[in-house]
Amino acid sequence: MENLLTNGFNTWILIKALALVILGMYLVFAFVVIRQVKLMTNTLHLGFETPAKTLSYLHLAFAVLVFLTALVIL
Amino acid sequence: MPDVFVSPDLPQKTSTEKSARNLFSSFSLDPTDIDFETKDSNERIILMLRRHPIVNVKWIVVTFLLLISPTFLGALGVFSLFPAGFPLVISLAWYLVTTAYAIEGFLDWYFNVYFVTTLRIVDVDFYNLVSKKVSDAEVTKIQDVSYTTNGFLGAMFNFGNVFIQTAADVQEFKFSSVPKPEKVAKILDDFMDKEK
Repeated sequence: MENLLTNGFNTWILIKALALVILGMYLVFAFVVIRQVKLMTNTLHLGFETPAKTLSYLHLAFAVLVFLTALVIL
Repeated sequence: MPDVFVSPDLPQKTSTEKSARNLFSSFSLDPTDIDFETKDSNERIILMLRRHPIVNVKWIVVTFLLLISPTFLGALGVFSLFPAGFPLVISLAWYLVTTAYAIEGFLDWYFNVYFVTTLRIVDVDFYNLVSKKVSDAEVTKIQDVSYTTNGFLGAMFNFGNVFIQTAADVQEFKFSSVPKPEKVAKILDDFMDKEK
C-alpha cells in the first residue's frame, strides 16, 4: 500500500479520473434538463418553446465539449 | 336551446396592457396566443400571470458573480496550484455550471405560471427537474380572494401575493409575487359576483 502511494502513483491521475466521473454525471444532468424542458413545453405553449429547447441542447453540447476537453488535455 | 357557452364580460384592456403583451410579460390580460395542456376547447384564458420580473434579479446577480469569479481566482494565483490543463477544465466546468444555473433560473420563472380562464383558475408548477404539479379549481368554487403587498420591493414595483380560497380539492391557491395583485383580485371578485 505504501508503495502504491509513494512509487509511481500520481495523485493527479486520481483527480483526473474523479473529474471525468463528475463530468460524466453532469452529462446525465444535461439530458435531464432537456427532458425537463420538453415537459415544460409540452405542458405550456407560451411562445418560447423553440428557444427554450435550443438552450437545453446548447447546454448539452457545452457539457459534451467540457467532458471531451477534460478527457483529452488532463 | 340553451347556450352551451356564454362568454362572460371581460375587463377591458388598457392601451398599456395591449402593448405590453410580449413573450416575457408577467401580466397578460386576455392573451390569444398562449395555451396549456389541459385547456378545454370551450375555455378561454382571461389572465395569465407569472412572478414579477424583478424576482429574476437574484439569479441574474448570482450568475454575474459566478461569471467573473474565475477571473478573480486567476488573478489571485489559485490556478497556478494545479498542473497544466486543469485550469482550463476547471474554468470550463465552472462556466458550464453557471450556464445551467442561469437556464434553471430563467425556466423556473418563465414556466411557473397561473391562469384565470372562463371556467377555472390554474396553477402550473414545475419542480425537482422532472416533476410538475397542475392544480385547478372551478371559478364557481372560489369563495374568497385576498392579496398582500409586502416589503419595499413589493410596494416599489407593485407586486404581491394573491390568495384564493376555494371549495375545491385544493382549498387555497397562492399566486406568488404577481404584478398588480389588486387588479388580479378585482378580476376574480368580478368573476365571483357574476357567478352568484
